[in-house]
Amino acid sequence: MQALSDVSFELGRGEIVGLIGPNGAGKTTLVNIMSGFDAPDTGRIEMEGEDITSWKPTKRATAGLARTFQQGHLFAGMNVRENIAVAALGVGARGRAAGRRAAELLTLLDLEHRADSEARSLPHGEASKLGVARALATDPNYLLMDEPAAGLSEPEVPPFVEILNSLRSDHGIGVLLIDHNIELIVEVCDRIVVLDQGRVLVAGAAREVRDNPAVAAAYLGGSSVIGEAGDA
Amino acid sequence: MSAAREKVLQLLPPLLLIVLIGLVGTTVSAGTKTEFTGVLVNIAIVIALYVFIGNSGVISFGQIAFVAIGAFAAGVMTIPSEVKPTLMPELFPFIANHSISSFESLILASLLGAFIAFVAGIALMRLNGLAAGIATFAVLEIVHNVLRFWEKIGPGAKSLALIPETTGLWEAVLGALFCAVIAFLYQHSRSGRLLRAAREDAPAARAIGVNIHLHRLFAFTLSGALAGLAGGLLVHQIGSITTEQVFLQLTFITLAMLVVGGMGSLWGAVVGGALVSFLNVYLLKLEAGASVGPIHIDLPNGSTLLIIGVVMASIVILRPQGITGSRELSPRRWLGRRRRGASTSPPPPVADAPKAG
Repeated sequence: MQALSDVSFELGRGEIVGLIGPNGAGKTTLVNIMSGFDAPDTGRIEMEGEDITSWKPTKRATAGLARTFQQGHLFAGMNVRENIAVAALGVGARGRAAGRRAAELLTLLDLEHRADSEARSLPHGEASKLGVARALATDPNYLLMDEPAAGLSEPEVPPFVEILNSLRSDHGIGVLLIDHNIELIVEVCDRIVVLDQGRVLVAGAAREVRDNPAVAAAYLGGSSVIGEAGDA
Repeated sequence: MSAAREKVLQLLPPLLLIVLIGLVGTTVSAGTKTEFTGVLVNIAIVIALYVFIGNSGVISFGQIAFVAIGAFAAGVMTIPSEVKPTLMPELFPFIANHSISSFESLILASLLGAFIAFVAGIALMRLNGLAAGIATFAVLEIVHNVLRFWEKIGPGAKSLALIPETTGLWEAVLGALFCAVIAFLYQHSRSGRLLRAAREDAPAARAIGVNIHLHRLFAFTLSGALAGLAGGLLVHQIGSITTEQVFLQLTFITLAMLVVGGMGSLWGAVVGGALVSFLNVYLLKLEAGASVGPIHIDLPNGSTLLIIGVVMASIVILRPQGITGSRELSPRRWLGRRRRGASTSPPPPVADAPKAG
């Protein structure tokens, strides 16, 4: 089965690109290919002009390409602080610097009160935030976020949007954002790519894509939320 | 209290338990003192296992191969060179003609254990789960058969005797303390922390740049070094050895020690090593027939391993994280809990789950 075909797009530093589409459209597969967890049969991935298609996930991470996971994949038996600190260590930070980075990100993601809790004890929203904090600890240039807002309560969304905006404007990070919350996507993304059955259906400026009749008919259906669950 | 100080305090319980066993060992009869020494050597072996298995989460049935290498290297090289031709006529000349001190033999045992572990680990450390278990078991078999049949490097199937018995109670204490400190330093090192992250979730570890193969290989090599050292301590404790003494039964019993104590923490390794070693010693006595107060007990032969097997299986079923919960004993947490009482345990995580939006 072919999960993706003729998918081509660019993610620049300091921009946020939304990736939407129905369940099974290939969004997570695309993130897996970009981050090196799956290999494409054909085609290539470039970062800063360099062909990274054959690079392993480890090398991509140390070169500045970070990702979050749709569900779980936390270091469950470690506490929240250590989850973040080891991510900094993973890309070469020294012990004290990793500790400082963890402290900064605990504050940024409002996880200080959970610093000493085991990651497995976190409710879904805080687990998603920890996934983001851990990816940011690798000091990325590009960040692939697979449903980072899943599980956030309504009051938690605006601060999260602020963080995304800060990643773009203050840190110049290029973010690829997958989420089912179309309001969130339209609010923060510069551009949106719509995937359908492994192909790019529409790509363009956020509001144009949102107002595209084909997209609306196929996926929005008058609702503000696309789909109800993650990809299988 | 700083996090660094908290970590250092976590080293105290394992060290104190080792010293305590040593101190109690000075108050007992000479025969029992030897048993205490054996317990401490076992603890050193279990710590060696823990360094790899505990930090990587990858099961290995092969670490006793490095104990065997250390034991035979230390044994063969400390027997006086004038008696070697009689005991082992086939030896390579450079082995036959040289003898070293017991202390030097421990260094040699560590280096050889590390080297063989490194060479084996280059290929094996890419494996996970059952494949890793089977492949490490193959290492045990290969080393066992080389030691058993290659008489140019040792006594072959015969017993290696006349080894200087230089591992007394305090040498064993020092050896176990050394292994515990190295294991502690490793688990808090960059490599140890990254390997523990990979143990928790390998894909997530790769996503943060962790070269899992590299860190597993380092832990396997360090474990091989400590296992070799423990093998050297063992052979200098018992004075004679056969390849069967460092093979399947020792593999089983030391893994049981790690499982019973809790394979995810140094404290678990030391507690499991101590408890199962003492259990082993006293069950063997009961197998030989002994009186417990007014009752004379004479267990059938084989009961010891049967009972230890049942204990190990029970722990795996009822408390998979071992009796310590695979946690380090934190003096601060322990004292704090005593002060607060059990009623103030942390709230369950669901307590601050976000409300549905």
